[in-house]
Amino acid sequence: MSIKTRSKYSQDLGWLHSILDQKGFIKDLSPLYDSIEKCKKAPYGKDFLWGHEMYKLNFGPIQSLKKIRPKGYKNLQLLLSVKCIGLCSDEPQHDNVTELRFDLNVSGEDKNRQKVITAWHLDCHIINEEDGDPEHCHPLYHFQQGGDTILDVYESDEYNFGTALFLESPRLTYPPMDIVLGINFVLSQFYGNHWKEVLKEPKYNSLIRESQQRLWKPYFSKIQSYFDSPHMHEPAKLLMPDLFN
Amino acid sequence: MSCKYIYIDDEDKDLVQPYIDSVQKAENLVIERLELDEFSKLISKIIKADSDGILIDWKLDEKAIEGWQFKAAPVAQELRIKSSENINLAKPIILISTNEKLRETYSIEKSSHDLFDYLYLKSDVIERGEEIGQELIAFADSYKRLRDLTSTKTSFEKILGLKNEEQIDTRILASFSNGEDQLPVHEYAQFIIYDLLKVPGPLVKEETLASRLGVEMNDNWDDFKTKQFDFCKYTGPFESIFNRWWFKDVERWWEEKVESKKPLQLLKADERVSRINEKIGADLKAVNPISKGYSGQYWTVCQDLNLPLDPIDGFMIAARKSFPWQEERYISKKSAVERTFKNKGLSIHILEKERYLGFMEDE
Repeated sequence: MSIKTRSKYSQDLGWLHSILDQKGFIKDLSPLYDSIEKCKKAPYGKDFLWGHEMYKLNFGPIQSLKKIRPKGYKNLQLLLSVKCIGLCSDEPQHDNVTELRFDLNVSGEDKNRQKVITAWHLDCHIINEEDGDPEHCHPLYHFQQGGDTILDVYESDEYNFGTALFLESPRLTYPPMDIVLGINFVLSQFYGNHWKEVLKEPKYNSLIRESQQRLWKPYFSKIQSYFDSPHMHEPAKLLMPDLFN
Repeated sequence: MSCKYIYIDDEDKDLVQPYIDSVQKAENLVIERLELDEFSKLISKIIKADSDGILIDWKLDEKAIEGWQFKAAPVAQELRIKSSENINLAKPIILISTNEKLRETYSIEKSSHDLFDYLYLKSDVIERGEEIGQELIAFADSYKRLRDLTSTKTSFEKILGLKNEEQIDTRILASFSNGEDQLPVHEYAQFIIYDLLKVPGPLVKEETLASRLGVEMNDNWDDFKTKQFDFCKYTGPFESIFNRWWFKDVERWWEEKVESKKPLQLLKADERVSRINEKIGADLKAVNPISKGYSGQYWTVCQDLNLPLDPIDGFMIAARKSFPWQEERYISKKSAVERTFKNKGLSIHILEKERYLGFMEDE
């Protein structure tokens, strides 16, 4: 069953690659291509897991954003890395993501050829019993600005951060994303014209729907269940700590 | 046993002799000059000569007598057709030319030159004759190996020297042969040379291997590379001409022996090297970037400077990609600013033109 699941997910990535390859608007699809073969293998050698792994997919220049500050930055490029591991399950309604790292960074050069960067990070918060309650609101899946990408390069001479300020809060509640949803997220948020174009492909739509069924349906069902019966708040609270009992 | 090539050129014997002498420095290589002739007679002469390979000048028509005006391409084409009918005639056809421009287009794509197995410039033949002579022998040996393997219907992965099918992306096998039809030997040779060995993809050259590990290519690297990566060195035809490694195996090595949590791509050169040194007990040095302020997360090499590069600090270049598993190639911003890439016949990819023009605006 697990081999079948991985092989199906790998095939889906192959479909996604071929649709995007045919469209030709993503700059360098090699990382997506590599992910197809990787997806056939059991992550960490554990047969009950599936994994989406893709590093630094370069979407190419962002041309449609109008309110970039400081002014004068042209041809920013966007890179997406996704590592999403989950349980192979016959029941897609089960929450099946066990590990998630999702990094999106946009970089370019200013007028003096000094490199600039901004980054967003979506992850799955790993809860250790001994850690106790986190000080701040910590949704299981959350987006935050910056993340390790910025921490890693902040001290180096590679980038110019000017007067930009980075904090770990807020951690914004967001459902988990695999490669398919991640690519769709980036296209929809940064490359609207390409997104509209690719949405015309029925196969693209069905790939998105399948991933949403797998990852988002259980997520939103848990939140929904809180509103249906507030005493069942624990699973929902994990996803959205703002929900009280 | 000696290896015999025939050499076809329209130049006078005296002018051609230095090239022949130069490559004949390689032990056991014999070059015989063949007089030009009318087309069909020339073809018969080539076949009769019973050589192990053919060296042919690109322009055969500069001094040709009327009626003999043809270039190397139709000769090669005719020989390829004949060899499809008779496997014993399948042998390397190597182009030799004085034309720098030919090398430029030739190095990036096969386009119209895919009748030939390789190109040598005459200036290089004089400079490094012995080495080129040895390569000619290797081309002939590889063709012999391919003739033997294909006539016994050996599987493509075995031809490539792979121990098991798992080592290779099955789509690569599928994109070449369905395993039933017997293809002519030169088609194997051309696919291996142009689509696997010359283009980065499942196989990478030494500079790319070192770049992805973040390592400076010094003496320690040489020892390290042999000890650690001989297991995944390419051992198929043309192996001694192209040093290549199966990169998927290197990635597996990284995960199993060095670091299972973080992939190479997301680490800077010094982080990669410190982990390798610690886990393997090596004494490698991290390689510095091309310019100050460039990312240390190298993944490719600048096609102009042949130095490690994170694609984010470069521009994608135009190159014909025949298959999706072939990777894009880049030049560094330094090469772009100094415009040195143009000397190598490289040009910016159409998807990068606008970004490139924006980048160059202030120059």
